[in-house]
Amino acid sequence: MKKSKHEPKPMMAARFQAEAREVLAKRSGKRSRFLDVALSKGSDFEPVGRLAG
Amino acid sequence: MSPLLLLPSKPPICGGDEATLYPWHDVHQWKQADIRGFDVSLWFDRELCGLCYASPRKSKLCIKIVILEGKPDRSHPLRGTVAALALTAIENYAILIGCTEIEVQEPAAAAIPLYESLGFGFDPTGRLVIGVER
Repeated sequence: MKKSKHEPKPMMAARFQAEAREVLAKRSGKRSRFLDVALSKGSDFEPVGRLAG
Repeated sequence: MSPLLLLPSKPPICGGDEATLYPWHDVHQWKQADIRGFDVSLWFDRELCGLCYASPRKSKLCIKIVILEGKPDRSHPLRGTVAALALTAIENYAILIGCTEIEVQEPAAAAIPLYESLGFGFDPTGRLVIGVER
């Protein structure tokens, strides 16, 4: 008999979080160029609310 | 409740940059007609900190940021990184679909120094753009 592939949402969320953390840990310098600039400028450099549109 | 969480279904009500409401409820409808449209929501735990909608529309080369908004709250946990996080996602998506350029369609005036510090520049036609790095 075939087993159900259903994954409860909390387990799915935990899996996504683990995968995201793993990817983030391996991120290259090139892929983090925006984040590196933003972190170096500090949180007040970005306006609150509307940014485009 | 913050305007970002009100998610209005009617057109935006303008009352200054921090009070502008975007039609976020309409995004799923836009996507029906815009199959390559890309929407991002930024969460910290259960707190919604930012939303973005970008699309290449008919272009094969340029993806455009149509709307981008951080939570209108000076103390949310992702304050200062909303544009950078959204752009990181958009750049990765741009690579996947073969675009070579990201354009901010209607940048908020107050956010232009931010975009410039992130590497954007105005081209000769006045578009605020940055090349995609592969």
